[in-house]
Amino acid sequence: MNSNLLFINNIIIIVFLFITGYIMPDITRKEIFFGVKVAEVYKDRNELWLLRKKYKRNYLISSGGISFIFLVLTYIDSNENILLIGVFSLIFSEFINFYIIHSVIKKLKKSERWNEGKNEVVVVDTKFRDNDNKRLLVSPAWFLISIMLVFINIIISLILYDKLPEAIPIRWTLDGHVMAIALKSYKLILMQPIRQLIIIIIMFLVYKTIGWAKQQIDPQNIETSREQNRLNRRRWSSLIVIICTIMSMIIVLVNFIVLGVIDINTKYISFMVIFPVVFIVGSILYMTIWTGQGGSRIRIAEVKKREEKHMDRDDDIYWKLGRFYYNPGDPAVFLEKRFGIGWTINFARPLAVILMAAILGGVLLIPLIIGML
Amino acid sequence: MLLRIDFHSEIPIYIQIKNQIIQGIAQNEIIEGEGLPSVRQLAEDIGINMHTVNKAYTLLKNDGFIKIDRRKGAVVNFNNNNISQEYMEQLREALMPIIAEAYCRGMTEADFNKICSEMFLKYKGGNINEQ
Repeated sequence: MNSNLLFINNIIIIVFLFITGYIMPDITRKEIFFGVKVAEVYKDRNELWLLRKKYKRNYLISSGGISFIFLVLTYIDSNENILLIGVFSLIFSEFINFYIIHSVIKKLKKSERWNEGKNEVVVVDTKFRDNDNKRLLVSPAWFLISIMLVFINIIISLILYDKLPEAIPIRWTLDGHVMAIALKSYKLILMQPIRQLIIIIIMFLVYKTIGWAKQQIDPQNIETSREQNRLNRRRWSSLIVIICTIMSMIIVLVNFIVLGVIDINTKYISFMVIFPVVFIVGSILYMTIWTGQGGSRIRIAEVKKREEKHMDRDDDIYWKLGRFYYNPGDPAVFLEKRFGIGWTINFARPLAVILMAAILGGVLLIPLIIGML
Repeated sequence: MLLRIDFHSEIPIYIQIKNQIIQGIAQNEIIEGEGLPSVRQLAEDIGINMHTVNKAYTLLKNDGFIKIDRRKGAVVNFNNNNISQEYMEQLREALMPIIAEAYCRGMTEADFNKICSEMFLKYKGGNINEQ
């Protein structure tokens, strides 16, 4: 049944979203509680612990229920649009659950005036991005492997052009039956390598933004947070490189199978399509749990004594709804999410907004356009 | 070196940056030839306008503490024989209100000098000025 593999694909995505939403409170930075900056002394308050439990309970019911409903729905009808609606429903549900708790803690912080008494500073290390001792990111040279794979793809395709069949399949069902073919042409042959190149470029940009993102050092834990922050970026940069390389390998492989360069039954293509999904989702989940937001789960012994008189600058007001950073006075484009894994943009920077809209638009529209062709 | 920027201070941020970098040089937390982040990167990390960082870097450059290398960006480059007439006047102006207040409050010259000595000692320990 060809819908089996599609269903597996859907399960992976829905379960991934569900799990990450559930474990999120345990993964975020210690000094940020549901999108609110909380000083060291308040971290172990009973209210916080109770609120965390409440979030998880609410989440299990709401998002758990939605996940279950959409798992059933996609099993019945493997239409991609159902999955899309399911994904957005889960995202929305997680946000609502988050916001409920966020509002409570925000009110508590305000009423008990957790802000007062300490000197608010922003700590910046001038050597944060120095590669002398340990590299901030893995070497960009690793991307050359992916680039080489593109060239191998192009060169071999061109060399064997005359021997390729006149009619080349361009769409399959998931168990390998050809659904559509196109006539051989140089343009057609180059389409896959070009797509591959676009993916590599995007991955490289993501890799770069990990380096550019604002360093966020906690004044109450300078050494530790600095090391965690650096190690976190290094790990994610290496994962980006690995994902990019694996995707390139798969694309080359699939292309060669399609063109008949490699003689394997096309029914194995579906496995090759599922594998990257499984790998990417699995490795991201693993990295998330292993590293935590901003490296918060990396254990580093605090070498120097803690600075008690400074606390981190309170920029809660710039975090709209606790999730979206909007600060026109800040030139930074990328910075860490407050509740979530990875980095987000400064929505006050027009370039960042355009970039994000373009990527999201592309993700949503490309399947639509391909479907119509 | 670490910069600690206080957004609520009366001291303007560009002065904070300039003062802390000079102190960093004095304490050997940042050494001759070491680079500082680019204007853009520092502004982004702190979360302030690039003009503010630019102002600080320009002051540091004009006062002979850093130089802007075309390739490497801002680099620490100072000479420890940098006492100009202008600097002497600035120093006197900066000290006047401080000493006036100390005097009015009844501090002795000896006690005031003791504080100054302590501070010089702290910086001398970093060995940038073997005098």
